[in-house]
Amino acid sequence: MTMNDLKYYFLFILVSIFGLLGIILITNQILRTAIGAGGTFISAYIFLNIITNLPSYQKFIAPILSVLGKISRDAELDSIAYNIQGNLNQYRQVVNQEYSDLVPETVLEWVNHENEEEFHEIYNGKLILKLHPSSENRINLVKATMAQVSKGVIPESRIYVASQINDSIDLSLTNKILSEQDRTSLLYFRNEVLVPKLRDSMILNYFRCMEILDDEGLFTRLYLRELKQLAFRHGLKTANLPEIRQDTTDFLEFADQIAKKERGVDVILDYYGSHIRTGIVMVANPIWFQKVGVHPYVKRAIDKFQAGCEIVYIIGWEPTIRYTESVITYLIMNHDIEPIRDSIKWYTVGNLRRLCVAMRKKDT
Amino acid sequence: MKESVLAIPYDEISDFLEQFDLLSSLERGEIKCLLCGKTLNQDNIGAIYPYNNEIIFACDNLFCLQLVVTKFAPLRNVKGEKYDYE
Repeated sequence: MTMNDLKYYFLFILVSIFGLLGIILITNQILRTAIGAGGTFISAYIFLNIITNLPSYQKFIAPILSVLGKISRDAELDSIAYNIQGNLNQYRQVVNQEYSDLVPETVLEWVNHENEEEFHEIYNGKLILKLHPSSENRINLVKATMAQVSKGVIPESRIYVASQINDSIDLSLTNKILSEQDRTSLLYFRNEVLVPKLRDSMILNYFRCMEILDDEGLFTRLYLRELKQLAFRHGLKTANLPEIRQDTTDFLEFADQIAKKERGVDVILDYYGSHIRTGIVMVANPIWFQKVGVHPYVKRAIDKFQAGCEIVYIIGWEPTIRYTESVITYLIMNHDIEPIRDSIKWYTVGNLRRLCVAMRKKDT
Repeated sequence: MKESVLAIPYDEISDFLEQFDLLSSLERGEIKCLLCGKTLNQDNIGAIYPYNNEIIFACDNLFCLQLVVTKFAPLRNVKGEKYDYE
């Protein structure tokens, strides 16, 4: 082997090493690019998935898709679905702060009717709405809201409620949802459904009760909460239905008296029905509290539990909020009483902050 | 907790009726709203309710729709019990 050969071998080895390094670097670069591109794609997919499920996005995009709907049927159907989901789910977030899981998440599902047998099997006993073009989204929203409120809000308790009160709950909540979301839909609902239904004097009376309760922040936090709890306590039995329905009707009248209570006027703050037994302790007068302290309020709550109340609501508002908190803390620390999960609710009526907490005995 | 609102788009009603052999009955004016008794056509159908292999229709009047929504809402009354408007 000559020096010249060695030079060639050396060059060959050198070129091979650089070639190999080049291949490794290119492969590495390709791999990194692929990982980067894949990551970007996955992130974009997750981001799009999250954002397209946001009610505010769905509400925003629905009118744009409606314009595109003239050239694409998919865009037209998406516009109809997003308008309903966006409006209903945005309201759901608000009302569920008052009482968790009161309104379910809405998903618009287009029915598949290609196979007759399957259609009957899947959709037997389920109401299917015919929806209008996206240019009439306000009508679609009213129809979907009525259907969703009717079947989705405290469904397990509706059997224990008189038909006119059930109707009033539907009307009140639909009215409340549309008031918050879409004025044109609200007007349409009021003219076509609400006004004719309120010609029934009983429905009118219950609807008014619910409006007053809602103004005082007690419709969802007190009345609907008690109705929902009733179904769990009663185990969905259907015995004694007339008696239970009378109980839920009387309880509405009791709640109405509480909501209408004026300062300084005494009203009965306990309800002992055949199935609902609830008490209320109001911490309303700061001067009186400063004079007598926490004990009379604690005693009232304990007395109500001893008399048979299953839940006692402690309610207070500015300027007695901190006194209300001290009553609740005293009950938790010194008696076997605890706040029900997710029942500590802060809200505002007028300009005043309020606090409402549902308390129960620990062993119940 | 999710709850579906079931729907059929306006432009599929014709196909739906044809598939279930109801288009000719509709054109002859034989299909009526369950609540108000109004004769239905493709435009004024408001809701469909499949029940025991039959299909019940309601019109597009929102008042009727509210009644039908209440009537068919699950778990509101026990079997045989009637609501005031029935």
